[in-house]
Amino acid sequence: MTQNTEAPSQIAPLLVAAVICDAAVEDPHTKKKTLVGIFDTILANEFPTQRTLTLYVKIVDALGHYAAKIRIINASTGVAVGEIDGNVVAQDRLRSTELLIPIPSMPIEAEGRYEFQVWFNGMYAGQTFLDAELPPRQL
Amino acid sequence: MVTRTLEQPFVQSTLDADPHDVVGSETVYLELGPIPESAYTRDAMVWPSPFLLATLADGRFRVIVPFDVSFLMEGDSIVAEATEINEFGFGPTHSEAVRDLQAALVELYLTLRDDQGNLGPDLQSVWEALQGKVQIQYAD
Repeated sequence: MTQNTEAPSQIAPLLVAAVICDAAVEDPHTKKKTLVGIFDTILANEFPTQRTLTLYVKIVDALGHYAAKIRIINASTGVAVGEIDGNVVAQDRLRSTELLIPIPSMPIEAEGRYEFQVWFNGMYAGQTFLDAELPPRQL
Repeated sequence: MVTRTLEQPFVQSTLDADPHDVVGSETVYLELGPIPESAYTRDAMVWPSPFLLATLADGRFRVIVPFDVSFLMEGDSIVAEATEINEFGFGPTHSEAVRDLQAALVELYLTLRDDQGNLGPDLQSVWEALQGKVQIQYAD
């Protein structure tokens, strides 16, 4: 089950995980990954702010060459925060492919939901999100 | 009968296994460093139109042939249309319109599946188109 052509694959990968965390560590010998500090909400005393984070993405049922794109948008306003591009080559549909995407300082301009959309060759594969909130008021 | 003792625990922790017995997948690193100021595309269309929808965001379904989706405006509402089967999703933002479309496609699939024997020609062609695009992974 291999594909040698470099033409963009038409096979839609299945997104099985998209996780936001503080950091991801890969064991160089076993390739096992450890995700440290998984979260989906940021509490900030004021906006705008910034946050260092890592996005972990796992896909299966992919074969061939893919232009991967992560689009980060403020879902409440539709405003784009940024895009991250890269290339993925999947050799076997029955094996998974993992992506680690460090984002050193993601700008968070206001409260709201930020979507991390995952695209492969122009195909929308899914998303995860991060909610930015003010901390609850102390009584 | 197996007796559990302190010396011979009944269940061996998987953490005791040789770590090299378990391996992960090859990793692709996507790294751009700090997001450049030019990435702030405030006026850009965040969702391309048309685009290919390759997920219904429902674990029961696997999209094998992506749906062609275009956006329209209808008053203050954004409409996401799966053009090949004439199904629509609505919402105040593009993201919510896409989520509504995904839910509508799931509902349409389940409805047509349940009424397979009673479909007219138009709905029969929609059902056949859906079957060509979506596989059901798990029974209800």
